[in-house]
Amino acid sequence: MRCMVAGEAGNLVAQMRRGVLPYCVLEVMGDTERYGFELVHALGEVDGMVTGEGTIYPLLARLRRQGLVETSWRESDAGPPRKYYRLAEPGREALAEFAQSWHRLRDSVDDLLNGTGHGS
Amino acid sequence: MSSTDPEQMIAEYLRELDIAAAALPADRRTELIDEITAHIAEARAQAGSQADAADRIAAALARLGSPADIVMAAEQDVTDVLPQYVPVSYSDQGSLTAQEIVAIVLLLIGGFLFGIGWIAGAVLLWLSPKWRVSDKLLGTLIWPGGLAATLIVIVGAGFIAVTGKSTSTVGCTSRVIINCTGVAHSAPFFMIIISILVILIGLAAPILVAIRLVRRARSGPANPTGLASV
Repeated sequence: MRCMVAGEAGNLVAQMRRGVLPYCVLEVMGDTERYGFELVHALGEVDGMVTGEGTIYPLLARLRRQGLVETSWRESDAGPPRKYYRLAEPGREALAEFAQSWHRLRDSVDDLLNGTGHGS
Repeated sequence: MSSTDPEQMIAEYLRELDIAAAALPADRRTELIDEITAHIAEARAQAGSQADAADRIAAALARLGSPADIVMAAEQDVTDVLPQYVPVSYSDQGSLTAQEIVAIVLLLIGGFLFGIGWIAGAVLLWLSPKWRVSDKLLGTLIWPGGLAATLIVIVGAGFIAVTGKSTSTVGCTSRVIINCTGVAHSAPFFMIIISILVILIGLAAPILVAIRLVRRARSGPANPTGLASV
């Protein structure tokens, strides 16, 4: 087991963020369909969620390839055509599953941290 | 960004993106460029013709992040996941398809079809991607003709043993051992043991080889340098 050093926590957080990001994207999509720009914007607003908004597009593409998300291009009178994203059924299920696991994990970690006061 | 003119900033950004995205497979590249272009077009539409349009667009491009980072994110997806990057020879991790089953069956009993069946089995064996070369050699060398060869050898040897010359059966011409005059056996006891062993080995070997080939086909990639499939 490697020795942990101060500052590694930052790297760990980055990794954790990378892990949960797909599910955050699914969550932000919600029950309606959103077009790329507004989706990306909403996510970018969440503190520390992404380094660059542009990196969300490859993630969206992967979610589509995995069948979790459906997309369609629509003409818009506001300007250029827009690509709309909506949750597909498998995406809904994946999100529900994640929410459960996340709550469980979050609660156990919180209990641990609160129990010992300020960690060691 | 060397320019403060929105159109130029955008053109420069998209040019950088185009160059960086050359590393991606064609369909991903097109998709990504389309999406980023649409994103930027949206940002531009929202900035409109306001006084600080240039600033807004510059801010939008900054929030997008560098084209290199975006392409890197797309590339990670490429190496993480994609079926098209798994060599065609094992779209499933390891399994018996019809080709393998037919090959094994033909190797075992194809010899009964005038030997041609076995040859067909051997061809299928070598053509299959599911086996390493060592497996294929095993299947070929043990042995040509499969069970048919075994049977031929057994029958032939039995025929020779019964009708061939033997010091204890001089004058015995009958194929039935106990009818040979004055002699109950035409072969010493240990010869019988050896014959039985030979028969057992002769039957067992092709069957054991067949079982091994089945196991190997099911146990996974034959090519240790291939990528793992998802």
